Amino acid sequence: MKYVNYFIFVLILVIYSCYTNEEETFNGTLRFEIDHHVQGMPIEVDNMIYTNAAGNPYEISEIQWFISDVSLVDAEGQIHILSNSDWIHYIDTDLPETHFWTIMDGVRPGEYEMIRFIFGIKGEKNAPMMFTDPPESNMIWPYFMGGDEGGYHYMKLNGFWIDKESQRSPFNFHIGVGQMYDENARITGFVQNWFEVELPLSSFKMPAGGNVMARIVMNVENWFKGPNNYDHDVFGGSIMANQEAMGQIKANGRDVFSAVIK
Amino acid sequence: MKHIRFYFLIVIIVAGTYLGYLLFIADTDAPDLTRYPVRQLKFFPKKVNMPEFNPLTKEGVLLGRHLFYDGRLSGSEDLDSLKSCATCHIQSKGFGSDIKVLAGKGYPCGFTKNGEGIFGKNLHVTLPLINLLYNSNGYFRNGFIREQNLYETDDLEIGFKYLESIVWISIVSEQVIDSNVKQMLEIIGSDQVYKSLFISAYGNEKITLKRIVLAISQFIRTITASDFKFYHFMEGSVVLSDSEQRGYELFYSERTGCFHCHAGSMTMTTNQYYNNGGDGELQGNCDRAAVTLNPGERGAYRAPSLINCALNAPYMHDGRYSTLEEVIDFYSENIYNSKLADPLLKGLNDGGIHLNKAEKKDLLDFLHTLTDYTMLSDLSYACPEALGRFGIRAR
Repeated sequence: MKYVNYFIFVLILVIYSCYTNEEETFNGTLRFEIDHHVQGMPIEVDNMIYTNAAGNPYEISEIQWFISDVSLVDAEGQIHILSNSDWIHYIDTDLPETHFWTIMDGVRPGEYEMIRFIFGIKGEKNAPMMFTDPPESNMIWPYFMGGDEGGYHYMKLNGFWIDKESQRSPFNFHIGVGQMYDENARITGFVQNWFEVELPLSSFKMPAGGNVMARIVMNVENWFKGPNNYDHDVFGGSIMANQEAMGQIKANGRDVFSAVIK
Repeated sequence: MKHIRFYFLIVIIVAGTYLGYLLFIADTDAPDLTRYPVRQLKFFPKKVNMPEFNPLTKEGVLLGRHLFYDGRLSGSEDLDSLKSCATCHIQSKGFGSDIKVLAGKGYPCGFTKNGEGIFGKNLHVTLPLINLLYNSNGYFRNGFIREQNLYETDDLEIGFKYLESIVWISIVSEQVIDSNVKQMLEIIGSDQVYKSLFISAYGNEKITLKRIVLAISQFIRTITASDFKFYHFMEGSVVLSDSEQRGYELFYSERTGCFHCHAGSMTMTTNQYYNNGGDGELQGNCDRAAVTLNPGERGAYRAPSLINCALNAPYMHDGRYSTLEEVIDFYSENIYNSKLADPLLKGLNDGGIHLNKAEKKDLLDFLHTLTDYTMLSDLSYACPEALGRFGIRAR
């Protein structure tokens, strides 16, 4: 019985190997690498060596965030969605293995003008409790603060800054679904804070069967400037219930990312 | 073409799984082993911590349950000398207890020869054995027991990598069960009940310490706690009282930040390691830094699951608090701002989050919604009647 089953298994493998996938052989491979920089240098964690645009000295403990819906824009302006519709990738400065991924289905050969992605998770995909395994599950956003379309933080950037009292204070620069409150501090609605990122200088040519590496850099200092000089002394360390703070982050976020094609 | 490939991939996975199953059965002497189904709980991790060398079988779990409660694990039939896992891990207390034992001699952090807790208490606080199947980020307060652990010892065949390692150490350690293994194997081997249990689980009646360890570990992996009020609230089948609801909103608020470490899945922990501002001067040497050798993790310990926390006093890694009220007071007024404190801590520069009396009660009421009362008397976890006077039963 054991050998019969083994024979069937081998037979299936042989049959499978007879099929070729011309489309995939033709396609190229696009690999992504994520880096986190301050002033052009890789971040140095747990060291109070940075100063933001508002003048707050700060240190970074860790950065954890989601990227989703990666797509390419070709020379004709056509958008090619690269990831599956449920594809959401978690990135963690403490987990180097999360800094890389490869587009599994390959990329059609051709000229591409731009890489685009969603910072965070679109509301319709951001279902509460959809992640049950860590580390993604640890990004949970409280249900009453995000509703049915706000299940998870888009980003947790944790660290410390020297506050106006000259004390080393923790900050949880967390962004996710914001809330609107009435005069009695009751939540009356939600605000989606995810946004689309278009990476300039990310044009490339994918040869047939070729390999391209796209290095995406999060330039951390840009979270704190342009158009808003984000001031920790104004917003304090905890901002999940502060849509004004998250609104500033969202506005600043559009030029946080850059790309280098290898 | 993509569909064809997808379907063939499915066929291969199914065939491979079936083949693996057949090979597993063929490699044992017991052809009638029955797979013990791993509970797939809604909102619980899908990834489980179960090594390939010790899959759950109904026969193995049954044997493990007997051994877990058998006081003769100590190596003695003297009723005053009986000791087993159940001596400290008591079902009616969520498989924890308030028993503190000296840290194990001769083993590294966790059960360690240098195992004193903070303030030199030199104590190991009994950890509750619930939902261990769903923790893949290291066992013990500091995560020392983990699959990546390269620490070796001559007398522990499986290293310090698995739940099995903990069971093994617990049986032989002077400070835990302190078994006379040779005598224990003889006693267990002379019991007719065990002969049939071992044959069912392993295909023959050969009794070894390793087989005992594997079976007990299987049983422990089946112990789950998910039947608590907050779980059912999240499912949408019950409502919380006003006070519990306020406590829930406090727990998950930015003001307290409890959820950042004690949520994620419904296991009510991230199983990550944090310095919670408990101490200014760090004296313990069994913290997370002892495992990672990262001085930045001095004073960091694994956030415990809060399921059944109302049953699991004393609290903190060194058992310094006797009640949940004291724990809430600590986070409210007594945290210490050290350079190593985790940035997720709220109120770090103010001594804490400063809850008023009513808020403390609300938070406490919420914590009580995390108690699984069903498991406390679940017969599938209980001491088998067959053990008779040798079974360690709840006191």
